Amino acid sequence: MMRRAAILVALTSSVLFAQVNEWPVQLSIPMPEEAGDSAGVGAQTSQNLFEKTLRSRDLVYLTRNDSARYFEQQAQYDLTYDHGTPRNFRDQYLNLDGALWSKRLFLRSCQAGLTWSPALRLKTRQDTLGVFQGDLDVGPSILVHPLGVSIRVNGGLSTRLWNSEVAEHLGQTPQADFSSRTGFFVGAELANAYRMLGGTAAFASGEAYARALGEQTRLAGTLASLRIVKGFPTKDSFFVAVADSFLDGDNAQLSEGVSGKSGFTDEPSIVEHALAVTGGIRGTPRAHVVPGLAYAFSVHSKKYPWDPSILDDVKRRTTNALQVLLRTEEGFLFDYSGGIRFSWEFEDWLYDRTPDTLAEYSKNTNDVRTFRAEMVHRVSKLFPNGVGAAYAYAVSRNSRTYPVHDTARVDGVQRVFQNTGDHDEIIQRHDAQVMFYVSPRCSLDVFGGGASHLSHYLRGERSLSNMKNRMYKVGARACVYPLTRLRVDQTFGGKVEVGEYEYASYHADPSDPPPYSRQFYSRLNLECRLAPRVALKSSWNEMYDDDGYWDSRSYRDSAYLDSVGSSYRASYRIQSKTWDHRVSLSVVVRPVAELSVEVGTEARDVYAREFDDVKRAYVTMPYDEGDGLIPFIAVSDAGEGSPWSVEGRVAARIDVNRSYILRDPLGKGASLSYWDVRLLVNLRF
Amino acid sequence: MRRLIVPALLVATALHLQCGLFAPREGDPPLDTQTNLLSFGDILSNGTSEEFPKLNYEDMLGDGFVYVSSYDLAHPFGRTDEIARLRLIEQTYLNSARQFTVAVAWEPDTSMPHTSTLNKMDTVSLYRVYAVTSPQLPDTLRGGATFRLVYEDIRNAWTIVYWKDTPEVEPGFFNPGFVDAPLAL
Repeated sequence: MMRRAAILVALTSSVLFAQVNEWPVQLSIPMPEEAGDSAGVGAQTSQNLFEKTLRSRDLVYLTRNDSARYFEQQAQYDLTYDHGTPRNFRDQYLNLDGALWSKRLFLRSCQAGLTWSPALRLKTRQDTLGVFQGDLDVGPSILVHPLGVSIRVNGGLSTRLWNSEVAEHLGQTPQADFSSRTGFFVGAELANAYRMLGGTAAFASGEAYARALGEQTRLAGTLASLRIVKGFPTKDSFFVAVADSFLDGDNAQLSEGVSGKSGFTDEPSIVEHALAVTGGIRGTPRAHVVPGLAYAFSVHSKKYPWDPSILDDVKRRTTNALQVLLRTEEGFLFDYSGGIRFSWEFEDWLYDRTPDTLAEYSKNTNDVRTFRAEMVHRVSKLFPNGVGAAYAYAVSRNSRTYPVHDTARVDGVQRVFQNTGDHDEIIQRHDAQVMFYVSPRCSLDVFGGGASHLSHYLRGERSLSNMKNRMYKVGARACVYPLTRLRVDQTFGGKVEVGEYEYASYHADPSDPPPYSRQFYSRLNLECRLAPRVALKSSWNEMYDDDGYWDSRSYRDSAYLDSVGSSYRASYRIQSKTWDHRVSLSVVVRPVAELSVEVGTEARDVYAREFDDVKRAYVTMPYDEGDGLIPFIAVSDAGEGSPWSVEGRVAARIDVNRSYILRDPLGKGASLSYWDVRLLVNLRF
Repeated sequence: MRRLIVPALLVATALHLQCGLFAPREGDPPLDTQTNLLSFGDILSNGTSEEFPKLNYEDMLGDGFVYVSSYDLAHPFGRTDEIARLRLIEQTYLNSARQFTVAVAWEPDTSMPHTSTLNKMDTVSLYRVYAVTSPQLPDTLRGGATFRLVYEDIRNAWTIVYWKDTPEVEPGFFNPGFVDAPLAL
């Protein structure tokens, strides 16, 4: 069963358009939310240090829950600190969200409470003044349960305090005046209401909110969704989902200007609307086959009504999609799943006005009709002894057509407006895997596949870049237990990518041959159990890849071919190549059953070269890391249900021969030594 | 069961192979005139021994391209903005006979040291003076341009990654913020 899962997971992860043969997410049934812990104190710390950047999060939370009241309070502090690099910044964030609810305040089905959300942000940069922002939302909430449905209504005071001229160290400088805005917010929420009417189930949720911060920024929005599921006597099921969202207003937030200095700025007022309707029939198995059919319609529009200069966002996208699904029943002779989907989309720019100016006519040429066809077939067969095979095929077509072809007199000139971007993109992919030998001491499988990507412009203005890229890959994997305590895992493979222009002769003068690249790899892992709680692990990884172009007669002009005569040979011209060697050795100890401690080291040498056209030789690439030694210690906790968990790794890269040249343009070599620290600790009691 | 699976696979195969569902539409071969309406080829060939292998804007302007006008250094434009501007020029300066009516001349600055070869290992800078003339423009628009170029080994091509425009009159003909108001022909 494990091997079967491994095969299917490998294919799932490698195949494009996996969703084409899967039931639409919009038509899934909402899962009931799990109830939270009744009471407790928890803490979490996450620390990541890599080179000179520290990312840190610390969180402490407290909950108390009894028959009369519920209380929660959290304190979260985030720090991102970058020191000694050109960016050189420090971002800090503190959040103190909390709530207090009194149960059965007036009625048994009514709860009332107070929620608060204070937050502080401080962003500082070296050599420039930073910015500070403080937010506070506080106000009462009421939760009622009429007819078994949860409705929450809240509102209150909202205030923001900010200062866009804060020095890196707060203690150093009194700063310029603080600014503030105060307003209010109101909201209502209906969470996953559920009703059963005869053979029909209905799930509904909704949310509405409004916020005003002074005169400048006012924002209102709604979100609503309804899902209906009806079962038929034939055991087929009918699904419908409708979702709608609307947003109108503007907001204000911290943003970074061109100079790198942050400020509190008002965003332009926006009106955005989205509606999606999805319906489908999921069939009951018939002759071991499960069919499905789904249709979706959606429309999304967005515009900035008070700022006509923002033309990019005055657009409306309308989409229709039809999907057919088929899969075999669980436990059938073999597993098959497949699907085909067609979708038609129209993106209409300037949909609410007639073009008038030159810029508007030009933007209007972005109107585009898109047709997509996607198809996936996946078949696998696994015998009880573990031997089996799996194959997946995916193909898609994405065609864009720009229909606007305007002739208009603008600024006294007769002009033609047309977009030449009509384009077809076709992608195909094959993936296959055969597990052809399985025994208690050995398993062997091979895998391979290929893909092609065609980019095809229809109009002569763009068709010069029409190109087809092909990829081929093959590999094998073996897992052997020569001794009871020793496991050897070896994988090797290779991949080739080849490009070809549709109009090769147009790329002959000057010569512009298509890209070509190769990759070969080998991964060897050994694990030897020395004692019940002690193991020795080792790995040896080799990865070679190169990149260049295929120099052939098709991409050479006749004058050049005449000049070199019969001495010309088509060949692969390697422009860059990298060989990455890695060897590691470590000891794993389990002092207790749930805790694993691994101590070891990794040696790595990266050989990266690129071809120098002037020297006619390969020279070291700027990002060649050279030799490095990386000792590490890692701790992980595999226990479930434990009140604590820990996962951490401390590693240091030691540059062996100071060969790293990225930061030294003169190529003299500079040290590339750094710390890599990751730590995640959870506590709950 | 096979009565269903096999026909379904056959239908899928037929869709794939017979009706061209996953085949591209017919297209046009490249236009010879697509590349040099604004004479960008002269930037390199008029002064050095190099040339741009392709003059369509997507290939000529490299990743991370930045355009900046000397009048407003604090507000640079990106590659998408500049490509849109160059396309708009092509659309705007067409007369009623669908002839392109603007000419751009790129010349090396004779007062600057002459460079005939460019080091492909390095980022190189070129300075060119330009003149934009059109019967649809009231005056000739002149200026200078500093280009920073990078040679991409993989594509075997020079690409422009930075363009600082120094027009005589603000904001500059190639500036994405330029407002075209050409005279009628």
